[in-house]
Amino acid sequence: MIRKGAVRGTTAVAASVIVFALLAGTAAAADTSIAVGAPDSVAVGDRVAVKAVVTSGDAPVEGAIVELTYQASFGGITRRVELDRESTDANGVALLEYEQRAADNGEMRVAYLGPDDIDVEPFTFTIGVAPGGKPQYIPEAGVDIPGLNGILVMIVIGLVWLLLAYAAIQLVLVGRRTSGPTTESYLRGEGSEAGSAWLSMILAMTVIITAVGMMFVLSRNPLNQAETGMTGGYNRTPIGYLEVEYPYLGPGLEDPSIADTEDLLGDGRLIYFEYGCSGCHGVNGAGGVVAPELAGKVGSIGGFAEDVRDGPRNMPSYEPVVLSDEDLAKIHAYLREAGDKDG
Amino acid sequence: MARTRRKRAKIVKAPRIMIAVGAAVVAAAPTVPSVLRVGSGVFAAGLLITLLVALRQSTNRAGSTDDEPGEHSALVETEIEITGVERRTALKMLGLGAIGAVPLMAAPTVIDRFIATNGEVSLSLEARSQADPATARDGRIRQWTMIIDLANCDGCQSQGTPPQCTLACIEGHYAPEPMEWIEVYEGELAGGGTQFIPTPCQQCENPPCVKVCPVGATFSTPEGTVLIDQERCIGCRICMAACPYDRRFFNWGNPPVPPESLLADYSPETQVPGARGTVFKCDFCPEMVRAGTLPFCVQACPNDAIWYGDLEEDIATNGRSIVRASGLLTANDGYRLKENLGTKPRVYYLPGHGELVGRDPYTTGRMDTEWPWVERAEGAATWTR
Amino acid sequence: MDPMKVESTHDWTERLIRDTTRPVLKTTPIYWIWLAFLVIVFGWGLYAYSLQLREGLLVTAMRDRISWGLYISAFVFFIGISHAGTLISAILRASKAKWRAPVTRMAEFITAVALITGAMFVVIDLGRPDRFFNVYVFGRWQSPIMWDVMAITTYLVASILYLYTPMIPDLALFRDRLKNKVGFFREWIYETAALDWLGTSDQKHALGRGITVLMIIIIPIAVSVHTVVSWIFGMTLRVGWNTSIFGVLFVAGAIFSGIATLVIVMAILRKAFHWEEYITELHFRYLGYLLAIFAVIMVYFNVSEFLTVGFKLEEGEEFAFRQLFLEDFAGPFWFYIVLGLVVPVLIMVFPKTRSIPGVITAAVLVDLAMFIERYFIVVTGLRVPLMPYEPADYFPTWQEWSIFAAGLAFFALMITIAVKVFPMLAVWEMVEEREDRLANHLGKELVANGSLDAAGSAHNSEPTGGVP
Repeated sequence: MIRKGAVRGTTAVAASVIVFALLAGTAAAADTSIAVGAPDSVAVGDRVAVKAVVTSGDAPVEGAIVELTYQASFGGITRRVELDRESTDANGVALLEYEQRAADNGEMRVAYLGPDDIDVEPFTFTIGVAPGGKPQYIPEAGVDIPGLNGILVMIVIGLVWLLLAYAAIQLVLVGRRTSGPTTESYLRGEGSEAGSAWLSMILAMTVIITAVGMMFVLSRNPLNQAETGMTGGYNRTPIGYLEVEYPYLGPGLEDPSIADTEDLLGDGRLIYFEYGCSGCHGVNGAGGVVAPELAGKVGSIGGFAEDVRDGPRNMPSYEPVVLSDEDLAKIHAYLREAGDKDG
Repeated sequence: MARTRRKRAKIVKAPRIMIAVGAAVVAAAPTVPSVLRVGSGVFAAGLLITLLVALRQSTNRAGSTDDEPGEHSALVETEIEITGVERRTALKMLGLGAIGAVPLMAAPTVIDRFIATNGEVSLSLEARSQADPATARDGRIRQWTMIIDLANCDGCQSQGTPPQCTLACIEGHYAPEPMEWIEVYEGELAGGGTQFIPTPCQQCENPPCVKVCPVGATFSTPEGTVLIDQERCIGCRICMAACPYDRRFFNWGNPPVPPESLLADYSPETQVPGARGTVFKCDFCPEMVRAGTLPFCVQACPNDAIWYGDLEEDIATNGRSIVRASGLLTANDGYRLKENLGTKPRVYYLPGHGELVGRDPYTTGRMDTEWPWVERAEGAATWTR
Repeated sequence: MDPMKVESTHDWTERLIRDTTRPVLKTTPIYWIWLAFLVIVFGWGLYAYSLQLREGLLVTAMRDRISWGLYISAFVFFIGISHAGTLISAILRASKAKWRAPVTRMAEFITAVALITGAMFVVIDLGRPDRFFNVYVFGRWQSPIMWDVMAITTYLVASILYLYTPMIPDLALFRDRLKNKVGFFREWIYETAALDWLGTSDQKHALGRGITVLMIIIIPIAVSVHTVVSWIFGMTLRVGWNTSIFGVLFVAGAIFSGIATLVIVMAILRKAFHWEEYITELHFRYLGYLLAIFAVIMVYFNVSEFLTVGFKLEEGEEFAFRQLFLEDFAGPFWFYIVLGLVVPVLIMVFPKTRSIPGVITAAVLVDLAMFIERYFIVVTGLRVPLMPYEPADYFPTWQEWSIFAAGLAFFALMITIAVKVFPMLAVWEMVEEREDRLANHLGKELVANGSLDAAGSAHNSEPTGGVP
């Protein structure tokens, strides 16, 4: 499933244009060294072949395991990612292949992994990636049967409502009596008076307006993200409290006395929670996604108080009316202690 | 005389022509909104005029009941009545009809404006289409995925805590009690014993929930995830009935959330603050990844069992190392839940029962989740699943 | 049969008109007590709903795992009942079955009122009723809920037109006969709603065209309505809902419960207003036959559904079968099968029980059973666990029961009020029918003792206009 994109990639184009740039690496031990031939630049989706030659002095090394990695940054961390691992043949050559999916390879590296426990200087190089890559992962779409769509629905419903409107217009015609009574019937009222016809008008109008409205609702549909495909979008607001500019007046202790005990640290912990500090700075001040770690890092009470009152960067400011100096001191003491415990 | 008659006939034919033209325009381009608006407006105006003429007729003769007995069919009579109408009356009706059609033509714009300005329902179609999906460095749109390594998941038995992923998710999203957007199920193994299965929203590529939503409140994003717009959701809960993974939650009462979460600007990506009477679920934390970090559950997992990745760049990380997603799945026999349903989830699993972190499959049970701020949430109620 | 001895059409019609207007003119204390009872129940339901508005759906027993309950069951049930009018009125009118005339009006009223009640339950079930109009603003036609909105809107408009159009001559009759006999408000209603009807030929033509178009178009609309109601369930991947038979099963069940409700309403009105002369045993028997036919159809559909899924027993079906046939829901389920589907057939098989009380008993059983069936479709389907968790339990809270009772009360209340305002017997159709029959008899007076006329309408005993 996940390799679906690979099928779509252009294959083996890059491999044919390999430029051998055989630069001898200096061997750190047993003068084993790695040399690599790789293309200068590839496009996203290409199948790339990197040729690595392992030699010891002038002799090729057979059966050496080499690994090709690239430098990737993702999710806030930067690491080496393995692309392929091969062992060398009788000529000391290993063909390391991978599909180019990353937008940027960073520094690429071919390293010696074994079988001998020797230190071999890895061979580093770069392969540029051409800009403007095409999407490689294409989610499967549903079955599209031509003609089976909203227009068909509109036609069917429109026909039904046309008939309903026809029936409603018959009522208008009933109201528009143009001739006198013609039939003998007990059902004809004696001495009937002319009524009015506005009700039939209203009924007919209602039917027609409902019909038009329904067509309208149906026709608007394409504007909505509708099919099961990946369409439409939404408002991308970062999580809100980053944007708060005004003094923070919301939470607090319902009953301040419960945080007014002899236990300074216990009180501090309670206040820390009740004023929502943990929302950003994490439980026990361990640091959160949007705000830094505080446990053991709060410094002096003066600087701490200044920060809390001002609200640096996106932090809301806590005025003295909201958070008293004593409570602030308790939080400070608690956070100091929390750091000590961790350490 | 004859000329006047012809003129009159022309005028009174106008509404019928309008109906025909309007219908033709609508039929010709039903997908172009502006054309459709004009077409339906003309159509409606024609109908309105016809009706107004008829109304005028019926009131005109309301006093005189001693008409001749009709011998023709009613349709023929209509013809006669309408063609016999005064020219001035016809003009007046034409004008009235045109005025009546204006609101019909303007309706879509007015509705949009109303939605855009009304604070309660602020996400109009336009606002939502300001999409700016997360992209790789060369502009390709990310295709988020999650790979959960069951061989590394012991349900936090070794930690002696409730599952950390669930706890972190609750804390990060202010998920109301008792919602566990990533819930750790305990499934039976074939030969006895159990495995823990952390289950976030499966972010299907063929999502049953999106297909059934009547108002488009839940939708697929260009990044392949499924989000819910709680400001549009009407709370019909058909998506919950449709979800085959039990991954949707309803806010049955006033959600128990801490007060500070109410300060947040709402976005479907964070679902904070949540509204009562709407549906919630795991959102895959796209805003976290854009901010250069990882979803709460991934960060919190003590065993690094949850990988978060991008299928477009074929990359995945558990916060400690980065691998190629395809390689990880192939090497470890990745699978998806209920693949026979054809929902094509974006969440993959690697088989196991916590053996890599030393879990004994016969040690069953995990601790129950806690919601840390329930007592701070005023006027809120909790319930059980 | 001696035509000379037949009561003259004029006399008979006058009597019929007197009997039809009687409920409008005379009000008994029992009526007021009944009305007060209904208003109290409805008011209590309103109170329960106000609680639900304040607290949210928290006051119900529905939770994440069983997220639909009594409300949706009631919705399906009432939409089902609304098929009474379609079948009795439209199908029988289209097939020119003459005996339908006295019961059509009631059936049409049941249709319109049940439809409104059913639609109400959808809004009651919404988590955000304040955003109901999002359905029109953001509606997307791909959603089964949207199909419902469109189908029910269409059906509601069609059934109100279909109720109103054939009633116009009778409203004119009331306008003329009840002048200065009823209050200003009702007089105004008759005057307005009768649309200047004088029975002229062009009016009759127009009315005839309207009725013809409506009775034909309303049949596919009604079928589509209950089909798409079933598709709300059928379009999901749930065990027990994921079957293709759901559409027809729902339509058959809808007509089934519609007939049963019609029988009950008919019996009550007949008793209350002494319409024994017009609504005869024959009508009960014919409706009883229809009931039996649909019971057999229901048995057939149930066997088809349960056998095809039970034979294969996919994942989850085993749980569904066990809870339905043997465990949690077994009692009411077998009530539904035995008393709801088998017993009505038996009642109609034996001549002894083929009486008015017999048919009414069958109808009550059928209505109960069909409600159980709707409830089980919703609740047992949702109860099957999707992931490894313990199956949830659901039993409605008092608020839910109150609102459900208020729905029933609303239904009865609307009919009760309608009885006081509108002609509940289709006078002109009954007169036409009688004239037709008499003409038939005069023409074929020698045919085989005249036991049954060509149109399938039995005349022998007392149906309409007996011998003086």
